[in-house]
Amino acid sequence: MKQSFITPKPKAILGAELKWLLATFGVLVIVMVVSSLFLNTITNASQTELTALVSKQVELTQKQTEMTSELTRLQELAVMRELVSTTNRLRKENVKNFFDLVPNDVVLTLAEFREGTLRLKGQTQSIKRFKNGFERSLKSLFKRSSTQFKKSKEGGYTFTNISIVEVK
Amino acid sequence: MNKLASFGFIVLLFLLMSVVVVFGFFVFTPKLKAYRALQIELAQKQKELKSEEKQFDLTYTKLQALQESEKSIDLALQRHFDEQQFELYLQQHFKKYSLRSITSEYDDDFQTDLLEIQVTISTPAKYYDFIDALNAFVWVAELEGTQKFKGVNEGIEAHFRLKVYTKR
Repeated sequence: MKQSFITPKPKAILGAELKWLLATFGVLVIVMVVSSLFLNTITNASQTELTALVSKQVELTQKQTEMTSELTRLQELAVMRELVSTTNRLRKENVKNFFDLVPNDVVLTLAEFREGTLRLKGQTQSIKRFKNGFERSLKSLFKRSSTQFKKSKEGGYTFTNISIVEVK
Repeated sequence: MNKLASFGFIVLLFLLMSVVVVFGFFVFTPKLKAYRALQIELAQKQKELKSEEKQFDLTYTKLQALQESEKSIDLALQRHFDEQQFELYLQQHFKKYSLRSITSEYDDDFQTDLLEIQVTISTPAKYYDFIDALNAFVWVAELEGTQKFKGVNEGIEAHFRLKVYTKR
């Protein structure tokens, strides 16, 4: 019986194919776990960002509501200011325009601007001039205008006029 | 590799592939889907927020302009009506005046002080100047009702009513 001096190598537990398979699987597992963790991280970051955005949006909406109500209040004030200044200006212009109409030969002793009517009292030297001048202007401005005359002691006439303030 | 080992190798390969597929379908894909959905939501929210910020900026600019232009009426409405101070104001415009009556009315928003005023003026221009100055008055005052002008020895006696508004 011949004896060999070469010591036999122990048989490998895992074959080359199996090693390759397990190595590939290991790499795959690592890739899967890492990508899963990465996905978790970016999802969490996005979630945090979304939460911050939502709270910013809520805050902005709240501020916008407050601002809108302040804006509405100021717009109402602007309307009121405009209305008040227009009323004042119109009333003043009414009086001014009327006084500008009064001719030199007519002396007013009373002018009352009521809502819808104008009442006048005054003196004139000539009814004819009054009728041709002042009364004509009044009739062109107001819908109805009637005048009563009385002879004055000092000479001339006193008149009372009532005009309906309604522009033709 | 004998037949049994090859079969075992194929089974193992199948099992490992199954693990990868199961992980992919049940773990990785839902996470990826959730992440994409979150990204879409995030993009939408960012777009919404951008649009709201734009709207906010517009409203803010408008509000600032309005705050500046309506500052005077806002301050005037906050100011409580003071009869003595009002008399000082009348003194600046008229040599002779009287504050005939004061009544106060209240509604939901405003307190309205009604003032019956009688002043003596030399020419109607003094009255016009006063009305013009009313729009820059420390209170919000509106000319109301009848305006009466009567000729007297010292000039013209003017009667008018003012409505002073104060925010409640």
